[in-house]
Amino acid sequence: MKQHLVIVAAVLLAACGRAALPGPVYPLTTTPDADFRRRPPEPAAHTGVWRELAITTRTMQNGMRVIVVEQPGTGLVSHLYVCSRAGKNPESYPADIAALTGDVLLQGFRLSSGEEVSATRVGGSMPYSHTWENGTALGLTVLREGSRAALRVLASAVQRPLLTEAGVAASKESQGSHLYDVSRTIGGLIGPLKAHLLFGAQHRFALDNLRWARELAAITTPEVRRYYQATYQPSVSSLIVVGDVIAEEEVLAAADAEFGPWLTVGTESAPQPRAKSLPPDQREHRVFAVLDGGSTTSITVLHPIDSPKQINVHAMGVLHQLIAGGYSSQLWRSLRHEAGLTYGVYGGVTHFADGGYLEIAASVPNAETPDTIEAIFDAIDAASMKAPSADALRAAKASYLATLQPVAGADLAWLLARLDAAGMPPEKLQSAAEAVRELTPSDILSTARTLSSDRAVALTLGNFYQYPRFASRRDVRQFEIRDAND
Amino acid sequence: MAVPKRVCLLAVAVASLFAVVAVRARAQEPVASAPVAERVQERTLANGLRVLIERDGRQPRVAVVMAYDAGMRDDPSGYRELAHVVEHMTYRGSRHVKPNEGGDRVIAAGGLFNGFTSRDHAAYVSQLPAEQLPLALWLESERMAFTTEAMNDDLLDIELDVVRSEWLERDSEGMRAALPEAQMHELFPEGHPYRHTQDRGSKRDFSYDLEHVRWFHQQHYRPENATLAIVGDIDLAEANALIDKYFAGVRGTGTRAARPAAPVVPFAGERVIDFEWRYPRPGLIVRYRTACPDLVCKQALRMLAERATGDRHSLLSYALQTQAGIASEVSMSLVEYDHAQEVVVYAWLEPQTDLKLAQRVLDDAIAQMVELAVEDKELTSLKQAVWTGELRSAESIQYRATRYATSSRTKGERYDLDALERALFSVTKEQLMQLGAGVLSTRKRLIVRVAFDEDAVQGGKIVDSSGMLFHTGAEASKP
Repeated sequence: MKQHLVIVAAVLLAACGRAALPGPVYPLTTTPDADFRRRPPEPAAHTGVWRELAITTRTMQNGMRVIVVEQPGTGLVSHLYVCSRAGKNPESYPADIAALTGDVLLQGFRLSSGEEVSATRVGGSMPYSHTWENGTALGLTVLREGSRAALRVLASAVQRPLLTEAGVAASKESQGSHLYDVSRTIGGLIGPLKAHLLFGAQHRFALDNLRWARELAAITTPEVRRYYQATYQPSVSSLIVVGDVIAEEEVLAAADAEFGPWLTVGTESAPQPRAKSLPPDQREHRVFAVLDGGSTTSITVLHPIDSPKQINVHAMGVLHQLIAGGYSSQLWRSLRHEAGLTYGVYGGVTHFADGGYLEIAASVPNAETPDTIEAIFDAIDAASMKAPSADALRAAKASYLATLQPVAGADLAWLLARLDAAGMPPEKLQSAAEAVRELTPSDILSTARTLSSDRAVALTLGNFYQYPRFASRRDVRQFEIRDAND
Repeated sequence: MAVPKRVCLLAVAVASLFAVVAVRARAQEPVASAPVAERVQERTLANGLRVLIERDGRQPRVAVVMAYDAGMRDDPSGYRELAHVVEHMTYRGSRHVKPNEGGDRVIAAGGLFNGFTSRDHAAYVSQLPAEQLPLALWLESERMAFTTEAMNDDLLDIELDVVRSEWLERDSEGMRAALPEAQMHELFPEGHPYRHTQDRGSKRDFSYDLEHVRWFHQQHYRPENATLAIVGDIDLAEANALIDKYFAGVRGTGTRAARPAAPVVPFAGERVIDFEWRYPRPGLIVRYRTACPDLVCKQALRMLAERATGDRHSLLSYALQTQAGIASEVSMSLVEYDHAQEVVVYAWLEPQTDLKLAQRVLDDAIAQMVELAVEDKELTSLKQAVWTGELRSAESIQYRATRYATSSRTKGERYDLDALERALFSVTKEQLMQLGAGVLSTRKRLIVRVAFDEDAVQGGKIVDSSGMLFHTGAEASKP
């Protein structure tokens, strides 16, 4: 009864509509000022030191690496099996076979006892797979008591997958649904265009959504088996275990027991991809308008990285922080804080075996699109002409370092997995942090100079959902790319 | 009682998940940890500021979260988004801090920061090297005590543009568009503060000025309205001394700001909304409301959600995706406000799926799940899954600080990992079954049937609705 009365009262209040607010009370500030408030404080006396992670690495006789980081007290252990040869869209295979196979591995496998298992949870958690440019990971985070069982499940999935017709069909269904949704988002439309525009239509990541869907649908079970056999080998595999392990020695012994018997069979060396960014006259356009309309335009500016092994990847990361990496970066200041043009500036650095790109993205009102594109290009041009100030560099390095120092175990496991798959030994994480601290303004300047503006592209995407006849069409890119300069 | 064949099939499917002899689930032993009373120190300053501190020395980082009872529910009628705009304006400096200097200083110190406005709170979250705790506390004390006077029209104009951009980026021009708004309109009766929706017209054309913003800040950003939470590698005595230094002198008014009452409004019937949008995937959204009296009930709801859609082999996911082949994604989740919970089921369907058929399949699957007895192994597995998820979140010092700061002050609640664990592992099979049958009732719920129509207006709209979700005023007046 009381409850209903409150509701009725609330309804009556709302019925009164907009009432005049009383206005602030003057003086606006009542808290007395104090000398200590007038300047930023000194750091506290209690100064912690980043505890060097005890990263234990062992290479088993079959060539597989095991990486263990002990983090007592959390009650959780994260396990990641990583295959660094199973990066997305491998050469000479149908598109999406890497991600598909990662999923199929978990659809069914045989335990070392010979028992066949179609799906299993460990400690209530189901294993999952994830594929990115440099690899595929199978992961499982469980309560510490489940760690041994988690290793057993991952080892069985990797070494003894059933790879059945039904498993492939189920995974195709799931991947197909994912693709259907992804290809209807702004990110999903822009994603495949990036490599296409920078490296040409033949690049393995230059995959339009139509081709992606077609090739996925056509993948056969024998192809999945062939890909699995050629790709999943101990010598290109790592096991990463981070968390509240019962004892490091036990993890290493368990890894030996589960993965040690896995032998390399039928090794064939993976083809080495070679990509080169397109010179200016081979690119279709500098500025593309995929679709126009709506009140805002999503802008993505991409600068190719041709030789990722020859550049300082950390310097490139810090450069991104300086230009667009969050609240204090140049573009956040100019586009958001000063002009109110955008909610945020996003992007990052993507590396893969034979290339990569620096990406900067923002959504702005349509009329501001040309100026914003120029502002982004100008920011990168300026970075290649003048070294950053010591203060700006210090802030950018601090921001970048924070990404190398996750506290949570699952985040740390993923960082180690990505470093490992990119050929950066995880045990060098600490020295990577040191390397970042030692970066100088001239390191950043020389890194910025590796970016070639005349090979860069800007993509613009208008409001996709204002165009219903395109929304149900799979290949928007093919029909709607237009040169905005026309 | 005869068990329907489909229930038997489901039972077989469930049993197969636990058939792996080598991966036996076992009764969960509580994770060794200090009781929360020892781990978390709580006190209230003389000016009313509530403070919670937890020491976590894994790495030399500290998370600092200041939450105000100043969420969207506190927007005065006719002043939508005022709480959110005020949140943005607090980044624009104070008497001693230049515009954006606060964010710049946190980042230069190797920190991260963010802020958000939810239905119940505005909260400011920073995570930085532990020795920079004084910086974070200085900035938060500035935000609380010295910001009103630094607000001006020029900064407000820019920030209103930023808020418009945020809205456009997040909602309006994406697929979500009008769908959340349409649901919120239905979920609470006229005048209820949670009915606040992101109304397009008012957001594009903000109908308030600097004086309104200053008033709101003055009204809500004061110590008795706030909770400060600190989690990290800190010296407790030093942290307490810093808190006293920066906050003890901040003046309040002696009383907490009045908030509009947000009573639990139970559903009294079923309401069906037909919604059309241009996105080519149809869907079903079903919302059930409940008001859990304790943590055991909330944890049981989480187990129920895990049982339904924890992964693709869970009961509802399996029934709709694998058995019927009509859904691409199914999820059941728990939405919590300060004063109520909702269990929400999203079923995104394959194109061309008939919505009425899908609803029948979903209803059948839910009915079967409610009937299907929970076995011991399944109960243990569900508890382990929910607990793993909670621990995974709680690994983050930011997460824990945010949960401490935003726990309902009105209800005297506090985020307490140990209490959550005890509550979770005390849930019985019978409680889970009873809760499922009680909450997932076909007689009291909101159903949104989302259909594709390429001629729908941008963002979509409700095209039809029927049924009754709440008691009418006449019924409400009955004893």
